[in-house]
Amino acid sequence: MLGSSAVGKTSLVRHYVDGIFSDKYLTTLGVKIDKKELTVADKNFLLMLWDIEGTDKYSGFQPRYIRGSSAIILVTDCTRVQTFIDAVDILKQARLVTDVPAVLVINKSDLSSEWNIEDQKLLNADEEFIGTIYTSAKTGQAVENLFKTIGNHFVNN
Amino acid sequence: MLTTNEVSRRFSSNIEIEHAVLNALDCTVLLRYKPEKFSLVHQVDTWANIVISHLPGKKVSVNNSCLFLIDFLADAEIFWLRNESGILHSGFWTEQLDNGDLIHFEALACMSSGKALLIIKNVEQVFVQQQKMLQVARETVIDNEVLQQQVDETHSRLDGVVSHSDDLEDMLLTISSTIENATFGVMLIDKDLKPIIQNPMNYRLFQSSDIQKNASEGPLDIVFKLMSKQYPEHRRIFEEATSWHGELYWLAAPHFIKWLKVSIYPITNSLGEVCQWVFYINDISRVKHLLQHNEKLSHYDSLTELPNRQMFWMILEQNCVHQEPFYLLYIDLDNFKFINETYGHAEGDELLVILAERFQKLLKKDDVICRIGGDEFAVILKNVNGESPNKSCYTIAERILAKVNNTYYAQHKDHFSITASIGVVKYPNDSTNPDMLVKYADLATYNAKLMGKNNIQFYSQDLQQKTAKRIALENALREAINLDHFEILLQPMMDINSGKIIKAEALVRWNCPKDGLIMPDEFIPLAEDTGLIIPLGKLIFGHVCRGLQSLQSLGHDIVVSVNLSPKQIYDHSLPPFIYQTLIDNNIDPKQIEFEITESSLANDFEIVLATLQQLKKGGVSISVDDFGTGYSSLAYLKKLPVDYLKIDRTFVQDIVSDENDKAIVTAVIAMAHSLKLKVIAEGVENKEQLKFLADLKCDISQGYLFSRPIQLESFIPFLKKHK
Repeated sequence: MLGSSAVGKTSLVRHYVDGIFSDKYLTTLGVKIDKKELTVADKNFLLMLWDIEGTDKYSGFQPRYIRGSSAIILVTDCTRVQTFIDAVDILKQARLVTDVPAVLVINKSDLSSEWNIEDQKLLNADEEFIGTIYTSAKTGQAVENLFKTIGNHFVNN
Repeated sequence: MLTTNEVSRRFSSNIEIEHAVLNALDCTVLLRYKPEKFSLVHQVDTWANIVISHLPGKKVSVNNSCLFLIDFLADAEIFWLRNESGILHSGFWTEQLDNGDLIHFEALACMSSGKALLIIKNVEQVFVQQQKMLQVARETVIDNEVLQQQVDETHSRLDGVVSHSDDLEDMLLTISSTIENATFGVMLIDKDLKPIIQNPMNYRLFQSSDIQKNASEGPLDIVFKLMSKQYPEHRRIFEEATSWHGELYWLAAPHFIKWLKVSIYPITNSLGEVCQWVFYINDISRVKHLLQHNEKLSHYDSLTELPNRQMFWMILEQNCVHQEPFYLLYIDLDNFKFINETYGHAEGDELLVILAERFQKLLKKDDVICRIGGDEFAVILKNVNGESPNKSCYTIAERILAKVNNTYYAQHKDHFSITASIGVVKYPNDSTNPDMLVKYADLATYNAKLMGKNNIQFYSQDLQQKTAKRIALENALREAINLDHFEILLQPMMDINSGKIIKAEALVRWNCPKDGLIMPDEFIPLAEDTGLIIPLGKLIFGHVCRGLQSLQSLGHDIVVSVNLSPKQIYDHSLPPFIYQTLIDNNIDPKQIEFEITESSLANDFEIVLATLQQLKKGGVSISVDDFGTGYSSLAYLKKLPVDYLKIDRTFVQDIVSDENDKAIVTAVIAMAHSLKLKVIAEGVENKEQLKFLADLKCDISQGYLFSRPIQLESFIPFLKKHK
């Protein structure tokens, strides 16, 4: 799980793994790994979700955290355009390390969007991502779907 | 108590660690005797059992469930195999217990007397402390980011409303609904700095019992009062019609202290005249309060750790009180916005940190450097002695510029360089008043920018007069555009082969009622700098079309060439304006030729190409002016829809006597013809030059040999004679 700070990476994992959501923002330090089994088309996967500290001026991008990954979930916050600008940069850095499939997540979609979704073109979303998913860790919107998308990708490829 | 780093350092330095000390450290130490095989050296508590399992004897293994640590061991193995010195850190990671509790760890790999050690530390205390600190820092950054985003969005909406509305009442109605629910203060001010409209939040922001008592002092008065005291240079913002961002400290003792973040933008009409000003005001007291937790009483800049603007003022005032001579240098980075936009804000921040370090290394112990704005630094230089202190100060300023100019290496091996403009003022010679010193330093910096950036300007009375003169000229030019004090002269161009006049170049003159005729080289660069070239260019084109209409009515279908400046090429409204004006005046586009300079081509090629293609599609022709004086790439020339090359007069001048000029002109004509371009020679003054050009099969000539630029009334009989 990559992205700027406070985009909701931890909240998405908490919702998916434990089914809980908290409005209180508590910044992540370092890494926390969660596991969850996923079944897609009769195939079982064990997801090991690396919830990585947000990339910002206080914590730079850490290539070693993603070197053995099977997929990247790049999370942005639809209320903060800067998280999208940062995502462009994070993806560039990640692509220097790995070419695993990536999903673009536009989180907090229960709140009104403050940036033009057309901006996604900057990320060349169709080519760079196996999917763009609008999620809300608060309402649970598309959270399951996000991880299923990754499972589906591995079933079909 | 020893820190984990100290423990590993002691191991690395082969200092025996007492178990009593290790007990106090709450860490587990493992000795790696084979790849992925460890024996236990020390364990304090049972928490380590979350990440390791005990095997018979003193052997232990890392738990398979502890994925992070296993991943770290891959790096640690390489580190141990290389027998590297120092410590390899894993960074923090968190493990969750079955009961939901979280435990935070950090692992370190190091070598001690040739033995590989793995230290695992329970970092609970440090983790919580750092989390608290980062939480505040990140909340602050996000608060700022959201505030800025809201201001930018509202500003872009307001700008749209103002620039698309001619009716003031309609405009105010739309603005009012746009800003009504904004979560920050918005004020629209007229050009005389009187409030037109304010949103409810602005009133709330400035609401206090004091203000209510003193009804004559509204929000705008308060902002101006604070700006006068804290930013004495603010007057220039209104004189120069530039935007401004800053923070104001509002102390209304004993009631409250507020920090206000203020952004001011001018709103201009198509002539570049300021019609209104818009102020955005945010109460950032909470952000400042949060920052105070992390910064030393808000007197230091959190990024560069240099004294901030508030601290700078205190230092400056103290220095003025001490009455010892000093220099104040304002360093303003040139085009810093470009760095932020091109390489990202993280790189921009990194650049500021590097610069702060570079500057500090140049200065003596008693000197002070502060970060006083986003891309502005101020230096107070003391004890600058010697025979010529000014010269010594200049040398230091030159060193600062050189440090700025040094290459920066961005991530992924990108590198770039940047420049700065420096303004210098001297205490007590220029002023003894801190406000005036700042104002003069700012003025000197502004002039350094005008002088082409990357240079140093000392403040002087003369400088102030020069600035005043430039502002006066700009105002006069604006008025001249408004009142159309311009006329167009035409300089004929002759087809060398037939001897007939086939074209003319339109040249503008400013008929100033006060100063008489002003030549273009005196006002075009100013128009280009200020953006007035856009309305002026449109005015000139209107004149040309009307002139062509007159010629048409007399049966002359001649081509007139019009100069386009680089700024005009970047103006997306240019092509539609051109074609509408041609339609309005019933002019065939074939009668128009645009001259662009080589310097325009050196800019963003894609934009130049798109504009020229758009113009060309409409049927006009295009020539490259002053060819040979700039840096035209032949590859560009081939790709651009160009029809003519105009050889600059400096090559034609000595064409008969100077072998180099001869060679250049010969080569240019041959090259142009091979690219299927025609050639126009400028500055032809005598028959020898003309003959030489004719021998080289140059197509068209222009110069005093045939005619100076003349008014339309004189051009008509001239044309009749030479048609």
